Amino acid sequence: MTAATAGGGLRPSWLRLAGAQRRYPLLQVAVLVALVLYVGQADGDFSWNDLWAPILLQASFLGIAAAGQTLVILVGGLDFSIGAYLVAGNLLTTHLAGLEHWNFALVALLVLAICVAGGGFAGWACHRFGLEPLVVTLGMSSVVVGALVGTDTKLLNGAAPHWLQGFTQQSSKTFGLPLPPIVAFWIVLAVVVTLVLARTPAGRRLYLTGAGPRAAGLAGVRTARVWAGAYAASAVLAGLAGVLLAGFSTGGDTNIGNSYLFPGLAAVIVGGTMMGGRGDYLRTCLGALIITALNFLISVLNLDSAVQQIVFGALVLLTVALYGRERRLRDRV
Amino acid sequence: MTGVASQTATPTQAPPSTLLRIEGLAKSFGPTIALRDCSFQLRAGEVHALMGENGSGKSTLVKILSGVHAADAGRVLIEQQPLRARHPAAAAGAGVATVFQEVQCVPAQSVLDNLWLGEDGMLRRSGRRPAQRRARAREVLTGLLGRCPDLDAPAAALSLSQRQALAIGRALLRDPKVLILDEASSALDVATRDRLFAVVRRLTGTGAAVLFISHRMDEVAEIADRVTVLRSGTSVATLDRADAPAARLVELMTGDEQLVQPGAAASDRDQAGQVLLTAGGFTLRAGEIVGLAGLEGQGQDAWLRELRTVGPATAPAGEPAPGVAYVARDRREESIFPPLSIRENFTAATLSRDTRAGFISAREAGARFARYRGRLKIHLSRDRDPITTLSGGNQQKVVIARALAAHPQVLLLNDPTRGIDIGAKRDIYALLRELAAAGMAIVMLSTEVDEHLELMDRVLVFRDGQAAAELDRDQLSRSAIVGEFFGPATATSTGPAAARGTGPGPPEVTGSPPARRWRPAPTAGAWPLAAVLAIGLLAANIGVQHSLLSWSSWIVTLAELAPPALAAMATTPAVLGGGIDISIAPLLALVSVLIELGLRHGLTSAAVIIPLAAGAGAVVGTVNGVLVNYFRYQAVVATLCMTFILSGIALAYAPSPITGTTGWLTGLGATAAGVPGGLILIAVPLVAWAALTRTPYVRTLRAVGGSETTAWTAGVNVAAVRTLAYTIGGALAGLAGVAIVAQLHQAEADSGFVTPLILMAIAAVALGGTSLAGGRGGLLASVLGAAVIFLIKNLLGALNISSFWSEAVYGATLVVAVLFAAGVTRGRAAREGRTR
Repeated sequence: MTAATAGGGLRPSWLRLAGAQRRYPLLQVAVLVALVLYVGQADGDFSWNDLWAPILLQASFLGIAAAGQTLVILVGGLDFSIGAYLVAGNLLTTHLAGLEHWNFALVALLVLAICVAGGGFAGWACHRFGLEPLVVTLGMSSVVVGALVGTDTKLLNGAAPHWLQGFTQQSSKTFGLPLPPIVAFWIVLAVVVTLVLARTPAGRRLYLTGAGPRAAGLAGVRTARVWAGAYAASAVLAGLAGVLLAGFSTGGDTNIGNSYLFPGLAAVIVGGTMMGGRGDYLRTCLGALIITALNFLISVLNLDSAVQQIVFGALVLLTVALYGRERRLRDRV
Repeated sequence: MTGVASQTATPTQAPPSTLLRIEGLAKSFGPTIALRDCSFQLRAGEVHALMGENGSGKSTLVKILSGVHAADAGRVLIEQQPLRARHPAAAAGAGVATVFQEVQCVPAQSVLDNLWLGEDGMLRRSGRRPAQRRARAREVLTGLLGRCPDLDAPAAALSLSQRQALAIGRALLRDPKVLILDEASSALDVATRDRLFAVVRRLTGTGAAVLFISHRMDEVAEIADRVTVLRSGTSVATLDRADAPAARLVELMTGDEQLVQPGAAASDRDQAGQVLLTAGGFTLRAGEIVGLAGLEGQGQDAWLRELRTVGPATAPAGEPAPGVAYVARDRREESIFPPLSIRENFTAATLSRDTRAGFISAREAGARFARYRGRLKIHLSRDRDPITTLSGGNQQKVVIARALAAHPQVLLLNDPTRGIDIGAKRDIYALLRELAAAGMAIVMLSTEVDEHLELMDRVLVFRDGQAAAELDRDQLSRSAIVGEFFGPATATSTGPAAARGTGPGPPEVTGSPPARRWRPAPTAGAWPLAAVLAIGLLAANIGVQHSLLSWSSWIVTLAELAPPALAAMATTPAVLGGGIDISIAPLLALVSVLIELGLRHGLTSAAVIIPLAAGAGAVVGTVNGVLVNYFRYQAVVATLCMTFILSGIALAYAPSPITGTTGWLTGLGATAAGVPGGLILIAVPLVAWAALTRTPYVRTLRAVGGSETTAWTAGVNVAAVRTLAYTIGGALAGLAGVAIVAQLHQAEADSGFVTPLILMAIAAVALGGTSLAGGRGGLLASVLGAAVIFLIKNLLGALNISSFWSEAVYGATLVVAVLFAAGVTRGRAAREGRTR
């Protein structure tokens, strides 16, 4: 809205800007800056502790939860089971580690096993049988949460392990820096995911599979593995977000997943990552920051969660209009 | 069948009138100029052949004439009136009917429905009565096939040749003024082709014109009155058939340029190379170029793909095993990665070569690419640009470079020069010779006879699914190759010259080309399974809970079933058309909230509330339909956004559940006039749908879901048909909102209430046997699916199993249902071919 018109009336410069926008998320950066400035202005407070740190903290959970969705969308799928694995990680950590005092490594291993098995199966099944990912992942999320809580309803009671609370508190410092450890963790994760996507063969195979499934298969990429791997990674990253959220929430909550599934998806799409090999994780991070800043704006304006949902929906519609629409029917004949 | 052409081909006496005039047509796709300047005229009563090499612009011209593409420049006049065909339906309306190169049919629909696809309006039938349609269909198909196949069998049960005849029949039924046959005879067996020619002659006898596109000189010689030659997008000449001997046409098509310098073939060299590959009786030696020829669909394609997996012969000890590289046929779908850069496209098959300590080195990749860039004469500015900025020829060179980068000893190419310009072709020929001279073995499928003549050391000609003949370099001639297309009996006599005039026609081949047999699938989907499941579960429920047998519990059960059943029904139409609407559940929640608000404000009349509910739903559904079909949003993404928005609006009005009911609503939740209200709510949409099924709409919607391109090119307004499906779904969701209020006497918008409903609705549709890929299924099936889910939940509840477990069973049922449905219909290929 700002960057697109900032180029002025001349057509060539406008076109150049449109080309640049296709390559870099200029518009997103502009929107983010505008949002943060507006929130700061409305609060009359631009201090680190009252503006920047809270936004970064909130965005870090969303960004971690949406990392997996980014991978899945890049290979051309969709993952609606993010919420379920997040809940699984959250409940197991608060109950087993927080209340039953299990060894945390054991809990982490259990979460990892559930996520890899469930996510891997969904990805494999979608690829092997050409199923609609929406349906399979929705079904899997019912299975995961239902079976988990059905096995032991006591899972709903729990408490956060103490050290984890420190990890996710805004007042905590990282190596003396006034940065909450969770934010530092998010930055490290962003670097790692970006490196893997951009510079390793595994990351390239993800893009190849998303950009041309059949061509990738013919070029020797084992696309079934890529699908299974992307969904497993998505589940693991969601589980990780759930574990970290345990430091935030006092007890288990089966609805916590929904507050990250749809906003996470919105973060990926608003960042400019589209199905079929276009986008990257840094865009998702940007998207997560925008979504979080929007939430702050909504609370600054005293609007409720209903408005928040409407704004998300409209925002995603707008972004998709800019980037990723289907080919015309005439080009498919 | 012989001699049909010569008997009926009488020249018209009166000065022929111009039926279709093409003036200076031009069309570009991005950097590729497909058509530069094309002008010629079609006279009434003539068969006008259009010839040209691959990539000369024939198909682009056809697509402009048939309304698929709009021309960039130039114009088309039909009977002196400008032809403004902005979509295929408009072209059909103007009297231009087209049979496309790719066989177009809806596999799951009957032969009769396939034939008349596109004839009807959206809701109103055209004037013809069903009996008339059958008679006319039988007549046309008998004319083409000799006997009429079962008109009610699914098109999937037909052979490839019969399906192509079906597509031709669809065009003929329109009684076109101009019939365009774009390589339409290539998939036909010889007997059918002869009958097609007879039909074509009859059609031109009535004053229509036929634009006949074929690669085959003999066909052109047999049927055409005049010939226009296209070269590099320009119409270079229009000749009478008598003035157009094969040699002259070839000269015109190639611009009299020698494509390859002859004389450097491997057979000229002293000794045969080392054996690199053996498969069946076939032996491939280093340094030779082997061509695969034959009519379309004779098994050469499958054979080449098979060769890819055979793997090379074992290499002598101490040497690395020779590799096989493959260049696929369909560049857009099988070769390039459109959003990725040129360099990333190049390295796709050889990622490990650029990997240093686990990371891909951009410098290494760039250096590797630079080596091939010069050698293949790839014209580009920066290798970081997307591959789609290149012309088709340069894209293909990048793809070949990718294959070469793996250092193969055997290179397999599947029609690599298809659709690229002549300069790029020449570069590729030169490269292939150079590679062969350096000891590489090359197998190349080509649809151009000239490529075989110029390039190959030997040629395998395919017929009826196998290599029927092998021609060595010194045996290669146009007539020898073309002759082998049809069989040994005519190998020496059926040159283009011999086939012309009174010479014997090609022999009848009785066996049709090996067709991929599709499993016949009923359009209604696999609902009997859901019915059996529902009955079994009902028995189990009654076994656990005897009270279910009482009338009063039936009333309650039906009222409880109505909302999920309606939600499932509402989800179905969009799915039938090949889309999906996941915003049904939030929509029905919103409508129920609006009803409660209405009740609160004294709006209580059923005559107001029900139409308003359905109307509000229909409006939202239409918005979804427009977003998906006119603004080209992905169905999942658009309806997901709508889910956000609708949930938000509902939450804004109802942060907590709103309660309230009124007389008739309470009745609908129990009994109205002695009939269970739930039954009424479920039955009314089913009856309405049954009524809709009597119009052409539902059939057309299934056709759109089964094959959107077929439906579109047949003249169906795909976007409107699909949008209406979303509208109907929305209206049904509105009714589901009524059912919610009737049953619960309250409305809520909480995500804990709405999210499971989204899941349930899609699960019910899948369980009912409706294909989520579109094309098959119905509303009744979805009701049965919803009943199955409802009964499972009920059973688990009766057995005192926790709601969490029942949630898990529920999800598992959904996954198993879609897995089962996928197993029943088709396997793995679905993922690759589909974009949603």
